[in-house]
Amino acid sequence: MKSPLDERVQRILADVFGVPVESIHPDSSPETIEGWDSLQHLNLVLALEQEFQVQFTPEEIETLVSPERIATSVGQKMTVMELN
Amino acid sequence: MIASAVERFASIDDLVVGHTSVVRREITAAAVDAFAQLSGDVNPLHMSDSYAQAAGFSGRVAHGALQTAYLSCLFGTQFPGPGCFWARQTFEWRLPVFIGDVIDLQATVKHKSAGTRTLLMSVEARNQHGQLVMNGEGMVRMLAKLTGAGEQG
Repeated sequence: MKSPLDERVQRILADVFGVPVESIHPDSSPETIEGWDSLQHLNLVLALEQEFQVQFTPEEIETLVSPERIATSVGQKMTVMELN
Repeated sequence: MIASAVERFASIDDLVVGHTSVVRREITAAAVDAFAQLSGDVNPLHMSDSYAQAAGFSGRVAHGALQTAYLSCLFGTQFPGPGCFWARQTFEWRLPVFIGDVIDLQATVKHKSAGTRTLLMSVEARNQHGQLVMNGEGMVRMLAKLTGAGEQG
């Protein structure tokens, strides 16, 4: 069961990589999505930051390698923002 | 030159969303001629008043890319300045620019990504009448630091 956050993340990946949203799965990765190179990873990070109004550290950016991990990281940041 | 660039090395920490900067340039015949020679774009629309007038313009139309050259100057020397490099840009040229026009090119930080050392910039150019002649979005990346500057000539 996908959450609204999961769906937003998958839609962003589909937009950035120019692929149908149906082709994005929770465990999709740079190995399974054509064109997920370093430049597109930068574009993905920028798109995520703008969509969710968050910032990622360089260490976090290295971990954003699947929709599942992205949604977890974004969810944690949004929770912290709500608490503040 | 290297020492002076290091002294003015821009830091992403000093920039925030909303920061803006403007560079003003008069579009001269000499600049259009020089750009035509540099680029090889000698399209008569840029080089000949009579041709441009026959095409329905008041005179020679400046190359749109001449404005982008001035934007390069803004990014590379002022805002953010040395320490950045221009990585991506979209443009829409909305109105023709003529010799004698005075153009204000403005860049504004739209998004700052500290983790990737990247700035997204909204860009626009207006003529002396306040008309929007060009706009777009750019991506500027910031270097962490210069290394080996002392060994440079």
